[in-house]
Amino acid sequence: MRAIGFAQGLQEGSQGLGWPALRRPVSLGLFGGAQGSNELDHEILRMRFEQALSRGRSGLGAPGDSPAVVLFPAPRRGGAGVPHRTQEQAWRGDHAEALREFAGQWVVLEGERLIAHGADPALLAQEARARGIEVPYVFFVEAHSDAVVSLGL
Amino acid sequence: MPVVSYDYELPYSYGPTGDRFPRLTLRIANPSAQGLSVDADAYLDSGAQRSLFDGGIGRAIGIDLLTGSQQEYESTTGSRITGMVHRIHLEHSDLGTFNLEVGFSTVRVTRNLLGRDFFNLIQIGFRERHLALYVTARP
Repeated sequence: MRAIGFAQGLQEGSQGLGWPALRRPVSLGLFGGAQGSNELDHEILRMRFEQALSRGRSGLGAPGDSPAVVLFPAPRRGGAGVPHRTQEQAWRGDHAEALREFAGQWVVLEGERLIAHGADPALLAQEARARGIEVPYVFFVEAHSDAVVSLGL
Repeated sequence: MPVVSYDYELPYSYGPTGDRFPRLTLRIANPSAQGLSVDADAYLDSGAQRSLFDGGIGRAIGIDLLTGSQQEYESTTGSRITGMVHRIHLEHSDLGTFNLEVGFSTVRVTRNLLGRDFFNLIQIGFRERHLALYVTARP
């Protein structure tokens, strides 16, 4: 039995807000393992499956070969329920200038809503939870200067 | 020639200036206080021997920092800060959950750092030109 593998991961979509397309895992799994795929993924899978079948029919395999097994990237989701925070990341990319107002502070962002900002992330998290946000996304806004190159620590 | 393949390609995420950095957005949870967690970014820093988070993040998940063991951390300038080490859960939407002892700083640090102790749990590659990192969630 010969396997046809697709080295490229699936495009998850651009998220619409300046993110490069996030690729799904490149690891290969048997077709059918596309749990949680969206409609676009299914359409890509369908097209690739048909392409592969077409290649098989058109002589990709030598006569007498065993049937090809078409392998697709298998989406693997490790932390069920943990968001990518892609909406927040996109917002940060789009509003970097506005965020400079909060330089030196911590910020809690939920989707595109700025929930709280201040000096103590623990207090901000507490405030966000009080407002119904069970797991707040907290980040520090570093001061920016074109004259300074940042290092890890 | 060694050939390495990775399970995941992840884009760099936006930093404070709109530039993008090799970071992971993680759910940081206190195993001793179930349900208390925050999502935060952490820079992947191969120059850091151990992971270090801002102490405020630790307090945000209910950790009493002073109950941890003390660890000194030295920067490239030779200056030192003190961290208190605690075991936490780090969860990523794709990569799964990691149990790791990390230091929580006793002074403000502006960047949470995932160091070589985290790298020891995964395989990772960087493609700076493409602003992408590559990860397999096993050593």
